[in-house]
Amino acid sequence: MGVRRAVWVILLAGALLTGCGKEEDSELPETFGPGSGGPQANSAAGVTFEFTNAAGTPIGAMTYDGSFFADVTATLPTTNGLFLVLSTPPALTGAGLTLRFLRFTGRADTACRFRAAVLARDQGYTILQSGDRLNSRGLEFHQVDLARGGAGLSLFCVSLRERVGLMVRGEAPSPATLGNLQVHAVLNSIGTF
Amino acid sequence: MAAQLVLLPTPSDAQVAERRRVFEERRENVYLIIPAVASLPGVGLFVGVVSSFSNMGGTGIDAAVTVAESVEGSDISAKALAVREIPLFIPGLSLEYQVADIKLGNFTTFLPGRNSPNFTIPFTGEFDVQVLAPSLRLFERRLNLTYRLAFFEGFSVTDDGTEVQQASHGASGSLLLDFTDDVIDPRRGFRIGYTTSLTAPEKSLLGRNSEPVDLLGEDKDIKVENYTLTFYFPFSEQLTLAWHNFYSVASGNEGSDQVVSGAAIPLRGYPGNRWRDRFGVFTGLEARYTLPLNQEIDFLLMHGLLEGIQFALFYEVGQVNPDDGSALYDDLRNSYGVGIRALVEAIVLRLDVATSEEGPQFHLTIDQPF
Repeated sequence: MGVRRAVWVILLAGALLTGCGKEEDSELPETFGPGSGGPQANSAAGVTFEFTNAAGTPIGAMTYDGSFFADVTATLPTTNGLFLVLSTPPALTGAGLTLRFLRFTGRADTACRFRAAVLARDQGYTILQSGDRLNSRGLEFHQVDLARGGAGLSLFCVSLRERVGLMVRGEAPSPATLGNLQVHAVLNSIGTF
Repeated sequence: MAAQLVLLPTPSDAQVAERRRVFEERRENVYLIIPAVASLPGVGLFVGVVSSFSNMGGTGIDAAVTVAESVEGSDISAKALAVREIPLFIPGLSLEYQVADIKLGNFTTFLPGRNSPNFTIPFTGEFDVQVLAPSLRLFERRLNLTYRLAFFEGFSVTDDGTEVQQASHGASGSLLLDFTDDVIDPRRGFRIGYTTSLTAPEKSLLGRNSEPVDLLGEDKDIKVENYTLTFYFPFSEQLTLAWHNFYSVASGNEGSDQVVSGAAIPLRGYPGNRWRDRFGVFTGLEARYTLPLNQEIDFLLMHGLLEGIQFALFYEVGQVNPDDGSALYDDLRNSYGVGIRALVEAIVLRLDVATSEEGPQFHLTIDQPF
């Protein structure tokens, strides 16, 4: 092989090899869907909650089943950016479930993936899967599922308006509980103004 | 030829080696232009050119230009220019200036810390970077002193996971003692290096800082010092073993429960900035075999004397830790790989393929790794 041809081969190989990478495939379904397991959400007991930006301007809302979830926010220490904490009594089927609703600024995927990485590095969680999903109102969430000692933790992040968004942190005795009908009803109810 | 083979490195190989060539006497107008096509996860497909120019017009000034643009609708644009060896008022004093305007769909980073999970954190890849670096080089470039001022303006991630737009300066000073036989492609001798972060100005001719925030892994109250020691053992005229050692320490904020980052250890089998913590250690061995060619090349993409093609085989280990106890030397991360280099006078075009437990990495760049 002549020197010039050898140089072309090297340059071409370098050019083609550089940056070869596979798109990261999402292991999650594209949409939330209705979910599965546990009791159906009772629309007659629906409670609407509004999310606001730091200035108090409403930027979104959601609805949850008040006969399934209890608002336990007042029992917890005040945390900056914490909107709401919902919990279910252990005796209830598909329960032992906690949903925390927090405000973040910036990108949804940055917020959720950063928080997941911190949980994995500092608290021994294992990251199971991640990806983007749409709710029934067309909002795109970034979801990360984690587990520790059999318990499940999922983070759902969505941008609502002007780089202000909502992080839903769900914790349950098992990862499967976080995909149940009640959790998906809440996620699918989240919308913007 | 066999009688000239040196089977083992000897202490004399680690002494001050006579220069094979004088850097300032490099030929004028040597250049390399490399077209590139790449597809990056989360970014898309783009085409571009990476180029390097040596001793332009006999001025002694070197330059490197990189341009990349997206194809098929993905929004990617990258332009970078580096101008080096700009002579200043006194012999040995020169200036380097770099400027880059980058716009990608996504950039990714990792959490700092020894237990950082293999899980990327994306942020908007839009930023401008400028670097101004005067250097004083004396005694045939055996003594090198550099001050480096950088200005970053664009998106980044804070240490609570918020993406912000930020403008900030960074500054460092370095000393390099070079007792090798060549500035560009050393094959015998050794180098000792020291770099320390310095207090950066709030404003300069490069720009002005925005409101201060703690960026992920970058605490402004931290001083980072890096030490390097590199040996080059010639086994024959064509075969050299390079042994590079790196140690990094970040001081300040002792007792903090946050991860304090020093410099990232340069394991080529991992993405850049993958591993960083308060302390970092690294050692790497690279065998370099040079096939001499000495062919004048003069066509569209290259002009200069192709001195040789160099094949490399390397193995590296390193670790980071919040303290400098025995854990810093336990469960070492390792990477290994192969490389091929085109030696075009004062330009080394390097393609390395490295792998680690987290998959392969490709590096197409200019200059030796160490």
